[in-house]
Amino acid sequence: MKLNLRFFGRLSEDLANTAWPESFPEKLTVGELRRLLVEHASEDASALSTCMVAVNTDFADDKQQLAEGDEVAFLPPVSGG
Amino acid sequence: MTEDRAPRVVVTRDPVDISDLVRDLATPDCGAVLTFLGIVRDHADGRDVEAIDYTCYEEMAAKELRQVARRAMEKYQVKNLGVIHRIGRLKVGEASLGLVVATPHRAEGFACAQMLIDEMKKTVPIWKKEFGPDGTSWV
Repeated sequence: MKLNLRFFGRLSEDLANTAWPESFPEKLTVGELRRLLVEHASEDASALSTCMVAVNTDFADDKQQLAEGDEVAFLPPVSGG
Repeated sequence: MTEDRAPRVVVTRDPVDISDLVRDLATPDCGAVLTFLGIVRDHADGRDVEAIDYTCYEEMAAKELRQVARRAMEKYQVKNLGVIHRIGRLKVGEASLGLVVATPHRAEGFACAQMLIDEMKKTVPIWKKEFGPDGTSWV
């Protein structure tokens, strides 16, 4: 299935040179996606294992099942205000 | 019965201006109008700071800030609240955050404002990168 991956904060810089897969297995949880991306990355992507994740702009836990077309955002510790 | 008023929440590239919020939120039943501006400071953790670049997850930032505001308003029974967060490159002295809370009495206003600022720093998807003479630093 296709997923729209978004990386924010320092992740957008740290992972700028990785070419992510074009498609992903049909049955995938957020946790499984984290592991898959950390393995696939050509840079140090260990932060993806622990950062917050939002699916379609709602926070998600690792058990959440992903679906075709989902937007999955990886959010490092925030620093607004 | 307390009327349920939604928080006024804006994430913008424009300079922070809370004057409309003060005018609109200071209803006759409010004896306290609290205003807060978060300003870019010239130092952080021993480093000189010249500017901060604020970026955000645009599709989610206002939504999450609204949810944080609603929780703070509900906890302290606050009816009138507005918050503005600016994104983009800000220089020292410019405001990144504007908050107005209007309440009948001051205690719940101060507590609500404190909670909103503390909680937004945990979940609202906004990030800052500091620029200074010694280089750049993600916060």
